[in-house]
Amino acid sequence: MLSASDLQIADILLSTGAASSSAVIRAGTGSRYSHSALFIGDGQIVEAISQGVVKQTLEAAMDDDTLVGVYRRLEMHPTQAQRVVQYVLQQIGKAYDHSGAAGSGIACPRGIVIGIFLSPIVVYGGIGADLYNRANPEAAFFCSELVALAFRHARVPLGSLAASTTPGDIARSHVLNFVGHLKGG
Amino acid sequence: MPRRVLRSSVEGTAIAAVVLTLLAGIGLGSCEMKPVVRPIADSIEIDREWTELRPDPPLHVSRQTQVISITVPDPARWTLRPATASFLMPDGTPIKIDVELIASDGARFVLDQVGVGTGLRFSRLRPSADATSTLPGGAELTAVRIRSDVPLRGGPVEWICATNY
Repeated sequence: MLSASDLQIADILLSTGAASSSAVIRAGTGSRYSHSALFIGDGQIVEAISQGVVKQTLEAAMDDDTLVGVYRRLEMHPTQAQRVVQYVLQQIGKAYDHSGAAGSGIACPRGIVIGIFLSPIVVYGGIGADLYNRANPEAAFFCSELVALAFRHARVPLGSLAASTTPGDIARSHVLNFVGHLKGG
Repeated sequence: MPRRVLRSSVEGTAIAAVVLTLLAGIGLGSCEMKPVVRPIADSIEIDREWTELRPDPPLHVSRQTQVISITVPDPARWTLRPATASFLMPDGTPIKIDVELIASDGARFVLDQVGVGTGLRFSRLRPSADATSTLPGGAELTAVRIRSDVPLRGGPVEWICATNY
């Protein structure tokens, strides 16, 4: 098990909790994680939560988590890590992107299957929301979008289509190394 | 009843159950993700003396996390939790802000500075690992008391209950 002192600037924290909303996201995206945040150093993280983009203490952010995994970008220079952190700090106070989050969840492969099962309207709505968010990615953020856009901004992308990234996509990224668990696991 | 009709009826019921379960899950998850935001004051001026806000009706504890947020200009430039204060203001001035909640039964809950979003955020950690919320679920809070060692004008002041994911 890792401790806070093992973390490095721009480490990605993937997490989940016991809430039913966490279970819905995990099921929809096919991942054991439902949320992502970025460690910025000094015991603090930046994350997009339902109240917007916030800077929080690590202990407060992890308080209701049941599982927290740490992922680190391979082949990233310290100046690029600083650029990642600067980007998320500049977004503090911006709104949470509810429609973008729903769109990315529905537009992912498992989400489309579930959406077709529910109704074609769900699929069309989700894909529409996802496309709209890709055109305006920085107006508001959902958790994994904020993290993915920060790395893209620093020219060390986590994968393609940063604005549609889910926590599961981050966990599966081939340019990230799993460091260990901070909680659970 | 012919076996084929019976089988398709069972399959139909099973599919309907799965669809309803998915819809219920998505509905429940969506509702849970939307925070409850209750304005307490449009603006506030605080100093070393306690300022007491008395929300009417009282604040109701719900969801997993409860936060008092004090909106300030340019929150991204506030530094969270330096060694000796709650925050550093954008001009570098350290400021210690105390926030506490008074329940209808007289219980007092001291909040800690936990973050910066659209405003300065105050909350507390769960009292134990198996607790379902940071404050006692269902509690009624009749007063919010705030003071600071440096005069500060801010607002709105909001009560936010949210379940994180």
